[in-house]
Amino acid sequence: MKSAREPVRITDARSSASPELSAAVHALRALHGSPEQLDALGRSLAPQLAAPTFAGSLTSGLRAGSKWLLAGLAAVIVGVGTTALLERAQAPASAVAAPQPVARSSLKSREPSPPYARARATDKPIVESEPAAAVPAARPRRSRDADRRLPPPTPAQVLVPRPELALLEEAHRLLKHDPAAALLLVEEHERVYPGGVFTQERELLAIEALLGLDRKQPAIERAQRFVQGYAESPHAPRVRALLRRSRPLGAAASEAPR
Amino acid sequence: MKNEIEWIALQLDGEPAGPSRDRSPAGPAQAADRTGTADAPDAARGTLSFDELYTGHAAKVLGLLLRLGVSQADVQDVAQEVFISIHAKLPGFEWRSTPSTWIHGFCVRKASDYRRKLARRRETPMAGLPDAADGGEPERHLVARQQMSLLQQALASLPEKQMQVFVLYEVEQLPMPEVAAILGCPLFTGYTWHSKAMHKIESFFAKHQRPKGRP
Repeated sequence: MKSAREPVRITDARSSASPELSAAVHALRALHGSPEQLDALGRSLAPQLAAPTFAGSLTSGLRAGSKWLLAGLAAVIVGVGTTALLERAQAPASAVAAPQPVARSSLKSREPSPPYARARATDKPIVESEPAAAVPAARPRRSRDADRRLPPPTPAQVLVPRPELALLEEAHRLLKHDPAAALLLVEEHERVYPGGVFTQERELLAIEALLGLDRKQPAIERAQRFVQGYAESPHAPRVRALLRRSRPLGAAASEAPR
Repeated sequence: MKNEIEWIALQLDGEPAGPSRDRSPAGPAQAADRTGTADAPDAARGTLSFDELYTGHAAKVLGLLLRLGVSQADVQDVAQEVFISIHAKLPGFEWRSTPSTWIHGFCVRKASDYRRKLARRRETPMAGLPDAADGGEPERHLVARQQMSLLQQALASLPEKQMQVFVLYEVEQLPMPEVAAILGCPLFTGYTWHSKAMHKIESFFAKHQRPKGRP
């Protein structure tokens, strides 16, 4: 939108500025960094470029509304959630199994250096394939646009497990516009991290994805299991609310225990 | 079901889902949305990576910093600071402005910090000159260098905000609403600063051009 009051620019033919001033502005417009400076800048930013970070990947998408979900995730980001993680890892034995050591060790190679550990929390989901996989050669690193157009990877493609948080973060991002893809990611999380730290968040996302797909019955069943298994969870009120809204009015009386 | 999804979206994002949602105003960057200069389609929103930002804007950042008065010797360091800040803030980027406007804001602030540091050190910034590869015969190139040098002196003599408005509007050729969004000032203030900057620069040129002018 261009305002009608926009002053005539010096470089505009209608401008009354002197030719010298106009030439000076043209010269300044031509000023740019050298290729060497650009290369050096790229080298100096190698740690940041190696630790993928995404716009709105966490603090916008999650902070915006799902404050309880964020609370769990943000605790990890700022590094104060260590205790909480330990507690969560020891949560109800019936619902939480031991994390898979293979998944953890395979992620180790992607760990950034300590000063950039914060960006690690927003790591891009890994969809690389092992050389032995049936999937053809690895894609060029920069083809992010093409990546976005790809459907969520099938389980067979995901030989390198994505970081737990990245999986759920991506699922949350997709929730509104593509609940089916979000549900796939949630299922992937369930398979790769059956006893993960974010089990409760996963369940919440699963319920919402199912509702988004209009699969009310599985959503209700899952929500009932949640409120029974995690009655004291900070997510429980929200799940109960979802449950209430999902049920037919007549069934509301037989709500799960609070 | 649609209502239910909207309700869930409301719980998650605090705003209704759907293509026609109207984002709540949140600071001056909101003005940039109204300028219609979004440099990313809605479909791409939320998936912009630091890698993409760097690839798409590194050269522009270097150039803008130079035009804002950062010297050739320091531009790489300042650009690095810009991108480190972008990297740190990117997860919180909420598309209330375009990435380009957002990045311009970082450049303006870092260049401003740079000017202040330089002032404390009482050094004179020596902004770079166009590469010889820009074309043209040496004499014309020399004249362009002299005129640009004069403009840089004029810009260095301006109050900071006036200098920034001038660079963003006249040199970067951004629309004034976007300039105002970057600088976090009301639109009318942007026009005022531009007008003052123009007056001073034209006076500066009138004063310095004639004695140095060629016969």
